[in-house]
Amino acid sequence: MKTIFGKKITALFLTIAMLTVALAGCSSSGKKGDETQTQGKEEDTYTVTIYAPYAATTEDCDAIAAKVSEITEKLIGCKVELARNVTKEQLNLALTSGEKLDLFYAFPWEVSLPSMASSNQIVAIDDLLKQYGPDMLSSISADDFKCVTVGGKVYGIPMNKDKAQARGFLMDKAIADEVGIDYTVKKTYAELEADLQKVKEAHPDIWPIVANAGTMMRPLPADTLGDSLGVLENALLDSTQIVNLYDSQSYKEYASYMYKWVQNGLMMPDAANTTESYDTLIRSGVGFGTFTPIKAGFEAEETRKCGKDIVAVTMYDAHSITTMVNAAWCIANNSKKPDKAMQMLNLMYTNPEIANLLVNGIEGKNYKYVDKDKNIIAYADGVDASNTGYSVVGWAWPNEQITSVWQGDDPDVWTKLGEFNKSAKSSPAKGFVWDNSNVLNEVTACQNVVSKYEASLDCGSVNPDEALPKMNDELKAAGLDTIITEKQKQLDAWLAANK
Amino acid sequence: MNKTSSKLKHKLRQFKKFLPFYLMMLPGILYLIINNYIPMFGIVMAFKKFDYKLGMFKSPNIGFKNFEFLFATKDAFTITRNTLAYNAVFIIIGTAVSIAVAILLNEIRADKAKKMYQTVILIPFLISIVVVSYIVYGFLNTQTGYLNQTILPLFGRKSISWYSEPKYWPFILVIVQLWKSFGYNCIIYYATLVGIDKGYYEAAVIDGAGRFQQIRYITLPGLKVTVITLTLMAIGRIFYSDFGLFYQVPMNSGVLVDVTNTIDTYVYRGLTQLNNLGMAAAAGFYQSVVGFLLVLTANGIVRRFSKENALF
Repeated sequence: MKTIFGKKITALFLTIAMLTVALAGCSSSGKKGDETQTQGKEEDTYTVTIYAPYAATTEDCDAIAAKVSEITEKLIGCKVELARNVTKEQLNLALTSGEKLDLFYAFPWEVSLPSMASSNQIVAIDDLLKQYGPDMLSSISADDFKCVTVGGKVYGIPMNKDKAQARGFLMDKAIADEVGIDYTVKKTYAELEADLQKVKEAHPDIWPIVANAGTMMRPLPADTLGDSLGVLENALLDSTQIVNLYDSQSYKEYASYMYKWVQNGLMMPDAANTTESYDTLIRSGVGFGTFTPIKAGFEAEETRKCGKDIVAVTMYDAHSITTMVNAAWCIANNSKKPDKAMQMLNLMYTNPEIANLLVNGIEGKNYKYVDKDKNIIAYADGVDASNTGYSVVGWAWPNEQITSVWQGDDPDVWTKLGEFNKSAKSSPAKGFVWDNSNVLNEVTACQNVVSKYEASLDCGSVNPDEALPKMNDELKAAGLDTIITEKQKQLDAWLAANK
Repeated sequence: MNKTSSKLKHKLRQFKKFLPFYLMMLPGILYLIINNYIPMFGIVMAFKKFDYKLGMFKSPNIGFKNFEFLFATKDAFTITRNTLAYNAVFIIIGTAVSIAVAILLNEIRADKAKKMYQTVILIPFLISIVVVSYIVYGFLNTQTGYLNQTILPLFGRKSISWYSEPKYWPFILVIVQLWKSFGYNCIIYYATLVGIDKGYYEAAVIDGAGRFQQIRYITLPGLKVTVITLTLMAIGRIFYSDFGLFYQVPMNSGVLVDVTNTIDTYVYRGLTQLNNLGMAAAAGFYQSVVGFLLVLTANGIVRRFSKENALF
């Protein structure tokens, strides 16, 4: 027994000794390598790494980055590296692991600006903005900056896109005209139901309503106040009373109609488990329409996406809430040179040539000019929405409004979008940024309850008369009331400070 | 004096004798240290409010606050129950099925057939869980699924909306897990079986033992050590659930959460939305501690009954 123990000890010491030697070797040589590398880098031009969403091939990204680099090397002395197709998971991983990353998009429905700010995953940009981004500082309204302000500091540049949305239902125009749907007037659920019945009768093989990959863009005018746990029921009204969305009359009404529509065959069944997006379903003629947020120029954009003429009927007027504005471009804490990143961001926001390259790709390869004077473009020859190597999602970039207009869009689309943003009713809580750090446990628990029920309620798979009371009981047990109290306290303080 | 020096000499000789083995062990140990031991310092993260600017060690300490969310609701009970119960069922049924199939394999005499069966059994283990989830979807899809379209009509049953009926899922998950994993364990048991001295069987035949008696008195006792080792290792991981199985296979269907939520999926659902490193580290730490205690307990029990078979 003793000898075995002795052997083990010898073995252990031996390994430790060898390991120290090996590791010592590693670390000293590693350090040297690092030093030479950083020295080399300082002499080289800095490369700003940009992460952007939605599909694109690596070849196209590299080609576009090379073109952009040509311009930026002259203007601000740095190169650009571009990666698209970035998912929420990849983004989180890059931020967490310290991967090289300078600029990235932050959608409020994917990542939370306040939580990234409070854990210092992103950089506060007030000083950088004054120094390198005066144009942005002057062209973005103070109200919009409020939406990206956490703890008194600005953490991002709001995308210059639609900052308000109406709620409604988009549909295949050909069928709508055929059965005689009037899509020019505002409709209630009951009126919409009558229309959808007509579609069902004329085309029994088409689902009048389809879901979008297991989710529904429910047509509710609520101000979600960041995370839907405690909301203003109707952003179009002036009340600042925070309530439980899933206990509100408007949600009940919506869920009841969805359930009814699944029962009477208007809505595709088991929609919560489908993986196809609404545009695929409408393009292939499986579906007629779906609920949607609506903005200026929306119908032309959807027509391009679905490959069919699309019209939309409004159910709730345009309103603007914080999460529609605080989709922002941020500088990651990983950035070695935040000043260069800021200069780059400023160019992306103000330089039409760079903005066009990043949004639309390379002329002749990805797009071509239809009318150069009016700045109207279309897909390059042999390219269309289904085979392009660089998908065009203008609003996801810092400033789509300085880029070319696509054929089929209103040539004045950017002016109209600006007017639309201005004319929309602002939620009384617009600009309020919810900080959930005091109630994280409750938020985690409640989010688990929501993910349990939400998709099936939204898609009408379960009877809300049974599921909703259960869901609300569980939300209560998970501490929703604590969240609402905390949120109300923060909102009241914010309202008092911003009167 | 003389005694110690001779002892030392003896040790040195021993050391020289085993030197090749130590060298062989080295890559494995290095791997363990780099992959399993160095990251252990990350445990401190479970007690920090993580700040990316300050880094791991300088972030402010917040004690056990990160652990609270695990026990904040009655979910804690559900997820612990699901994790433990599913894994217990997997261990028990999985071991039984694997041993049974290994014995059957061992009884097959035709070499080609044996090779073919081995391969066929192992294939599910090699398939990615995402692919498995779509195979399951192919069976269970309400409109186009094989069960609803072909099997159920055969018995004159109405189609079932599988992904919104929690009551079926404990069975579905167990079946899927067994189908996917038994091949691998079965190969390990089979390897042990092949190692059993053929002389025992010959002696048994001479003594007049039939097939079943051979299995009972030679094969099963021969498997005992392997069974204990594999089971102990499985118990060590009983607090970890196969994330893919519980998240991908039910297609993340919310209605099923009561029967498919395990600690891993709960943490994933909660934290993908919050992006909080400290809480994720806390959950991992909690799982490790409980897993470690379970291994100690299980090993202690084994040691009481048959000392030579315990792991340590």
